[in-house]
Amino acid sequence: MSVVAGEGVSMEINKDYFADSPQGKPHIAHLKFRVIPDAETRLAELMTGGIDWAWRVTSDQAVDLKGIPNLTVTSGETMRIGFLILDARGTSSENSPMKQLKVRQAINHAINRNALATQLVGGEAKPLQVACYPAQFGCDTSAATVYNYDPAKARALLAEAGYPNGFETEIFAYRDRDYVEAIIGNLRAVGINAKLRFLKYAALRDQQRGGKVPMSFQAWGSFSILDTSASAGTWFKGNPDDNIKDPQVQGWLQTADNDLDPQVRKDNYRKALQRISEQAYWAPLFNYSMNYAYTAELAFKPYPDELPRFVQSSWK
Amino acid sequence: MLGFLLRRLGIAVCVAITVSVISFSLLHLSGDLATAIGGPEASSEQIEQIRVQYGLNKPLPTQYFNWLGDVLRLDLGNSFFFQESVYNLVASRLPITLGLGAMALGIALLVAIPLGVLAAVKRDTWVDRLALSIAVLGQAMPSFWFALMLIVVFAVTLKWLPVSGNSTLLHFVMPAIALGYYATPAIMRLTRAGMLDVLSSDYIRTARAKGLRPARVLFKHALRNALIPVVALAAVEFGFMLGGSVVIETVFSLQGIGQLAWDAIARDDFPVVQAVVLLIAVIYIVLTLLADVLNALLDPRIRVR
Repeated sequence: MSVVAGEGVSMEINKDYFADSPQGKPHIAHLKFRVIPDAETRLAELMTGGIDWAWRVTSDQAVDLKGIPNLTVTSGETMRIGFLILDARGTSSENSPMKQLKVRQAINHAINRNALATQLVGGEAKPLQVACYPAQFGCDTSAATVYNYDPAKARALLAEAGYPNGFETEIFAYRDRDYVEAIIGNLRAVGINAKLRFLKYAALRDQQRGGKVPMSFQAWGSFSILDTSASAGTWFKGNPDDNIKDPQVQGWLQTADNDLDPQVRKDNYRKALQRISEQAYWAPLFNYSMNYAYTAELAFKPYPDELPRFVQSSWK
Repeated sequence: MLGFLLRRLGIAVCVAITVSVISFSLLHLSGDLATAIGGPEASSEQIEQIRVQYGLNKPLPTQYFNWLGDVLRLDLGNSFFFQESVYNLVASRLPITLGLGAMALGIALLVAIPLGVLAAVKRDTWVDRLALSIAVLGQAMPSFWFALMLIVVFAVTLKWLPVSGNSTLLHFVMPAIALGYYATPAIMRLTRAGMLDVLSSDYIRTARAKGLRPARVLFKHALRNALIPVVALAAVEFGFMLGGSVVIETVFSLQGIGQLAWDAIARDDFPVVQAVVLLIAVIYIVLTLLADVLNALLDPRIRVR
């Protein structure tokens, strides 16, 4: 194996690898990873046979590539989820509308999750109502209050909260600007005029931890761990990223993360997820999808943890 | 001449220091570097560890002067992301960028000078207008778009050239054309202006009156003099090309200084960004200095100013 920093990695097959290994022996003799920063160039390389496999193919590119006969395009669901954090404690401003439950519920009803997932994210992305990835241990989707896309209800909730004409606010983000702009459009349709503050991640994190953010778009991959402790457990357990600091939720998550009895864990995660959803601390939006494009001669299967397993791949 | 040279050198040092202070400040203004290096999934403890490990917990002036002191000893530090000496990273990438710049400049000169001469000789005809149109197009077209169009035509459709990478000389053809075309308009216009100026001068009239062949008048007498300012401009354009290579190297995945800068900026790899910005600034300053000295040697009036 050889690694050249910033350029790529070359690997040769280890024929003496344990025959009884659970993952099995590899089949591909040579693997060469190349760093090609530009998405269009990656596409051109794939079309001309310069490379055999590419990931992070954008959804519009994936549609185009599906028409090319010698290429296979696969979409794989990933553990990464997209969500809005709403400033329920009102730390960003004393009179923050986000302090009101009805406003947070209105935001949840204002967003067209289905359109976001299918039209923008594409592939295997699915709308999300719960503060974890559904396949994670303890992520009980039935615990979530379902906030359907209902702009009329959102407007009514805003009126009940004392904002019949909506309000002005800011939405912070560090990635996926196009998704955030679609969310801003949804919010504007119900009267919430959210101004985009697009920052680098480090700057956003400083602001978020300092409690200066009324609403932010975030994405979370749970460290590729299939357990709710890596999602809700990371964002609501009193750590610096927990903007909500709900003692009840913290207590349930503490128990769920530390108990050895699976049923106790499940019950406590359920209680925590239920309250997070009832209180609309977040607006969970969708789980991300990863598009892969590769030569039709390659057998490849994607996994939700975003780790490509070339050891299981082979030439047809 | 010595006084002029010392004055210019003093200015060059001030510019280099200003550039380093600005890039240092901008990087630190873009958010907490330790958080950026750790990424979204790093814990608070890990971020604190990164802060201490890379000395980011010290006051900003201390960090800057420590860095400056190291640079003066040619120690550019270690890359946060690549975990390698920045000096080695830069040294391994610089030849690719310089090679690309030289090829691009060669292409720019080969296209721009004949076009400039032709435009001057055929002044106010359709040839002149066509040459000017080519120049305007070169200035107006974004280099990344032009680069992608080259890929579509020569790599994807015709399959004459490889799409990306830097393993053979063929890999440099499209990047050099894309980068060189950007410099063509300025060189062409200066050649045209210089030629028009020279062609109306007395000694050209004398040369023609002597009965010299038109080609000899044009290339031996006129062009040699018209090209003097072009030499200085070419030096400056070469500096521009090194800066512009960030986009071109990223599109063509050339492992040069430009792509290194791109990677480093995307990952807040502060020592690499600082080193690349300083290096490109120094190269640009040296080239500008050379251009100034060249102009001063050729035109004594400049030395007095």
